[in-house]
Amino acid sequence: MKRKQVFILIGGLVLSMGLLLALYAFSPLSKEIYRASFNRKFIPNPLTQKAVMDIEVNSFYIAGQTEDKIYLGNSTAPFHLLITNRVLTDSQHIMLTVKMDSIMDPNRFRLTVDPPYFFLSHGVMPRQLRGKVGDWIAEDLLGVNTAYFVESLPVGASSFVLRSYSTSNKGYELAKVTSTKPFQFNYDLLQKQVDGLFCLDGQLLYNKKLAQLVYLHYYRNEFVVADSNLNLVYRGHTIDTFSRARIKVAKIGDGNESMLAAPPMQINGISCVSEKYLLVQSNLLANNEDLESFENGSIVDVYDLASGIYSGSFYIPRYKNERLLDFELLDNQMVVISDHYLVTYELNLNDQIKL
Amino acid sequence: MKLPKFLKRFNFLDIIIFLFVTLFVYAATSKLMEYDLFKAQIGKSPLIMNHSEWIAWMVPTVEIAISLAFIIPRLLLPALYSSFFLMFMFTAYIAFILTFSPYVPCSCGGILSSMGWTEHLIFNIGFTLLAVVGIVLYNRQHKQDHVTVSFN
Repeated sequence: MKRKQVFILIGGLVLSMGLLLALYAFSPLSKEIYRASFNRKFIPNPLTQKAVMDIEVNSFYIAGQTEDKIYLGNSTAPFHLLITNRVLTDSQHIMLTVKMDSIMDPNRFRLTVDPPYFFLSHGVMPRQLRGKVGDWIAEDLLGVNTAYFVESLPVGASSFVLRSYSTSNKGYELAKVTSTKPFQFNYDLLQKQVDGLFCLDGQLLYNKKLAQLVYLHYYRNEFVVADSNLNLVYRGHTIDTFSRARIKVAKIGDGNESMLAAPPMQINGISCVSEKYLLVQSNLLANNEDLESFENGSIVDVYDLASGIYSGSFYIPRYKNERLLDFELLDNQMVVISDHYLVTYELNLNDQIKL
Repeated sequence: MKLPKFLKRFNFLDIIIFLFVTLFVYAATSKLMEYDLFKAQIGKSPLIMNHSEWIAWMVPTVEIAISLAFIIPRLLLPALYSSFFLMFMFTAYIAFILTFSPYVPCSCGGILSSMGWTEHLIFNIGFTLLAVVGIVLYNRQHKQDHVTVSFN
């Protein structure tokens, strides 16, 4: 190769790298992490680690818990159930039996265990299956009398709250279906901001003790509290100021399909409810927060569910530096999944939070 | 550098040209046919985001321009150089996303989207090297032409 050509090649390499570096310099990757304007109240050391179990794969999620047992579902092996005792010394693997003629896309099944029943929900078939804890045989409960849904939550032995697409409102709405009452939307709870789909994304949570539902939005600072018949109790707000969903949605082709066109600003992450509290893992760094602590743990904001008022925040430490995947709280017992580890903690909020 | 005997039956440079033209025309068409989708997908990349508007039409335009240059004999060498830079840039981009991005967005069109990111990286490195081979072969053939000319 001639010397001149080698120079052109090397020059071109430098130029291409320069272009990439320029893209990088203007991208959010090179910017400092965004610091929000609110302050957090840090609750000092509320967590005491109790036990750890290696559950080997990172596809488990918490399907339910009782005073003496923890039930884990598996998102890639949908009929595989793992039961452990609360001290994590004993575990049992169970294969659920599903009485269905045909199953499509089985990984869409989501398991909820709420003794004496367990539920398997599939939003695209769509089907609601139910079985008895102990028998572990799931049978179709509602037949075809349910609608398609993206999220389903059992709120009784044979009633479900769903998040479904409403064709009349062109967006997601919450709905209820039971074995005796047909599928019924409630149009008052979710309020469309951008496209009615992505902008309303969030998580449905159920507070069994108070028979209350919580819908936590991912992209805005709002959670909706309603009773199990979908009557609004109140709208609460998370401590940040993101009242509008910051997402960019693109219509694809003839406009029937849409997708996100930019990385969304997801403010609220993993969440759970206990009898008194709503716990929200937040993705925002507070004004008075230490950057290193924020990056080394998962910050969880605690809201008092009776009033909707922010109570304080604490960190879930990163167990063996693994990322947080799921958590649930029962009384003061916290169950956390960090990648392929199941970790239990005792959470003492009552002494710390002065209301 | 000597080519193995069995390869001499083909004009290896022509094969390289054919491969590049096929790749670029296919890649550009699949992007333009699903332009909205392509634009939305690259917009999710943390490196591109707000630049998705112009990058979405520039990439297929450059690909088509290089394909055209390949079929004009006088522009063969510039086409080989440009392919090298473009493929190198794609490669570096993928390597960058795989290393630094907190998540891996998807934006390759058509059959190429069935490749994983690592496979895509190897595929791109292969084509980058192919462009270098093309430049070397071009030099050799060009020299032969030159020798023939001087004999006359």
